[in-house]
Amino acid sequence: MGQDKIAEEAATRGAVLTKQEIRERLLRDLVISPLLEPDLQIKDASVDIRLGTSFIVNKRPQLSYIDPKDLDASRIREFQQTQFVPFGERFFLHPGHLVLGSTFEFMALPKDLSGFVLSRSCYGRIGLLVATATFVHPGWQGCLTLELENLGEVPIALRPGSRVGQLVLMRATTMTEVPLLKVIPVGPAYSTLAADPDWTRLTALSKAPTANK
Amino acid sequence: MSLLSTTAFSSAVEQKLHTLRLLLESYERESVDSGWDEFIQGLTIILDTIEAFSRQTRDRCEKQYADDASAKEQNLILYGKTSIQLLNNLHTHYFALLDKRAQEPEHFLLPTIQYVASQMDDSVRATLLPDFEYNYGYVGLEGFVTKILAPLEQELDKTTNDSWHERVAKISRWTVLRQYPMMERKSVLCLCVLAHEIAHFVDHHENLYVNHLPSKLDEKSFNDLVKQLCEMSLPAAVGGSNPQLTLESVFTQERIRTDTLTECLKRVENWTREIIADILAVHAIGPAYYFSLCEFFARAAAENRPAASHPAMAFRMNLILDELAYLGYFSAETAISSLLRDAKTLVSAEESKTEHSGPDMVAYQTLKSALSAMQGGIRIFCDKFSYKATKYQREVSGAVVALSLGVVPIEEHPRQLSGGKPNTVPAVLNGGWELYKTRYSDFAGLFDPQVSELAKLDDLNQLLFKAIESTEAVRRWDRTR
Repeated sequence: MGQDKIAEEAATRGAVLTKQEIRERLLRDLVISPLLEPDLQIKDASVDIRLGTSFIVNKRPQLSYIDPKDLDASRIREFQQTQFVPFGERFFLHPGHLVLGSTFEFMALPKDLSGFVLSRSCYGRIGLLVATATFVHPGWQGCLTLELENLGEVPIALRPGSRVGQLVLMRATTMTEVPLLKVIPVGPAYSTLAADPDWTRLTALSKAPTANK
Repeated sequence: MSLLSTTAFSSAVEQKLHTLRLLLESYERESVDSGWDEFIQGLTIILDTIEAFSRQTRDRCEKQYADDASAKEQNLILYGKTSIQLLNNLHTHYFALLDKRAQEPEHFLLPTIQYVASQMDDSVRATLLPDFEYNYGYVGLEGFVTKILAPLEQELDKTTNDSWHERVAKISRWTVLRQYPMMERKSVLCLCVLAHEIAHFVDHHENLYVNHLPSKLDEKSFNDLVKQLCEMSLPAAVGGSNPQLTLESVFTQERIRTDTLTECLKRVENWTREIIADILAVHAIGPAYYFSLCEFFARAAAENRPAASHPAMAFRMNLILDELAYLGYFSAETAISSLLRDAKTLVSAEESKTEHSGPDMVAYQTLKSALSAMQGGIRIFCDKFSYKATKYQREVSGAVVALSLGVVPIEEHPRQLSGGKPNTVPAVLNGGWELYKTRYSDFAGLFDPQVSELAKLDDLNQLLFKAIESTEAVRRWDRTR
């Protein structure tokens, strides 16, 4: 990369990547694969992302409540299970239901790019929320987990391969030190809340005597 | 008089039909792929027709033997038993397949396998079947509904016969099931062995083995075996004083010769099918087949011994390596060429030490002399799809580089923004094996040291699953243009 280019990029850190920049980075160091229709998917300042074939659904009758502290892998499997929906088939998302899906595209972000996942407005208008945990860290690689929720009043048919969301890419203000990988997800990932180190202290708080007593 | 009344048989048929229908409905709800949907449709046609058979034969008996209670009872029992046996047969052999399928309803390899099958014949529905036996297998059901229902045809009225024939015409003629060990369901590297089972279907469908079966047995080893059997001593009676008897003193030499011939021919036929499947598989996916078969032998703790169904392990591995040499892998500069050349030295030495005796020796000698002609014929058949070393050199390195960076190798050139071609299935499989055999540390080095080696290998297999699923999705997408 030429010095001018580096200087230009440094000056625009923190900015959203435009169509031209996304195309350049895809040719250089950004992986979003496969792009079935690049001309259709790469928009002025985002990339449309498609729905993958795996879903994590709740087994409602087995679920009394969720205490995030107890969400270790074995507990999660008691009330959640994966479901495979091949291309060409449909998955019906009922009103009020939350399921986890993933992007069809595999992504690998370079160390200086981060991203946000948003619902495509045309899906949002029929009540589909695509992602709640929307930030993608610099250097992240895998298929993104999507939190799909039907906020409307009628069931929505979801088809693997449909363009449900969009990824907005931004330059980080400095090059990030990317940690080594724990896993490379290629489908929706279960919650790992139980591994959160805060739980020990939060649990201790609930047992500690209060000052007023 | 029968021990059981005619009512008992009639009630048993009705109840069995009812419970099998309920069972079928529960499997139908879980089915997600068209291979099984059509299989379920086939079973539904069979149940409907057996129900019609049961009703029509009962009505006919009531009318035909109205004045002869004994004949009526005999016939009702006969027809009742026929229905029950058919239903039991369905329950044992066909519903069991559905149940195994229900154990593992999702499989990312399925679209690829279905596509390969459909390329050969439109009337083929292929699917996968997990099994708890540590083995791979192939079940080809050709027109199973017709085969089960044909014997009932003369007892059914025209409307019923027309109806089931019409419904059968709408489902695929072939249902092909590939069995794989349940415990390997998440390992693409291991599942490459499925290429051998797909090859069995190709052989069956194209009648390759019929054209390549050796025309005669090896004369010397066969005559030696017959002589040896004729002179074989029978166990002497305990404390007996009679002279020692030989097999020939009990059976004639002609009888011994005929029985031995049948056994040897069966063995040659079985081994020929295995050899053809090995050749087809290695031509289809290249070195990935060799590596996965070695892994399978290791995981199955297999011994280098021949069996009635298969030639010895070293014989098969040597044959596969010969094909890889023919495809150019020994002379080409690929990262795995030296591994293959070293393996050839080892395997050739091992094959020469393999012990064969009895019918195994006859089959071995027969196939050894016929092998060259057989290989020549199958190579011509494979030529249009052979995964030659030149193709490997062109396609695999990109997949290996992607995998070594922890990226799913979906496209040949992911940096190409238009007209990017999806990787071929052999490129993905060989990319996975080459990385695993030669550059695994690059991949493993991407992970946090706390991640276990086995978890890293799981991730590699997941990347390969995703690659195969996505490359097939891209091809399907492109076909819709």
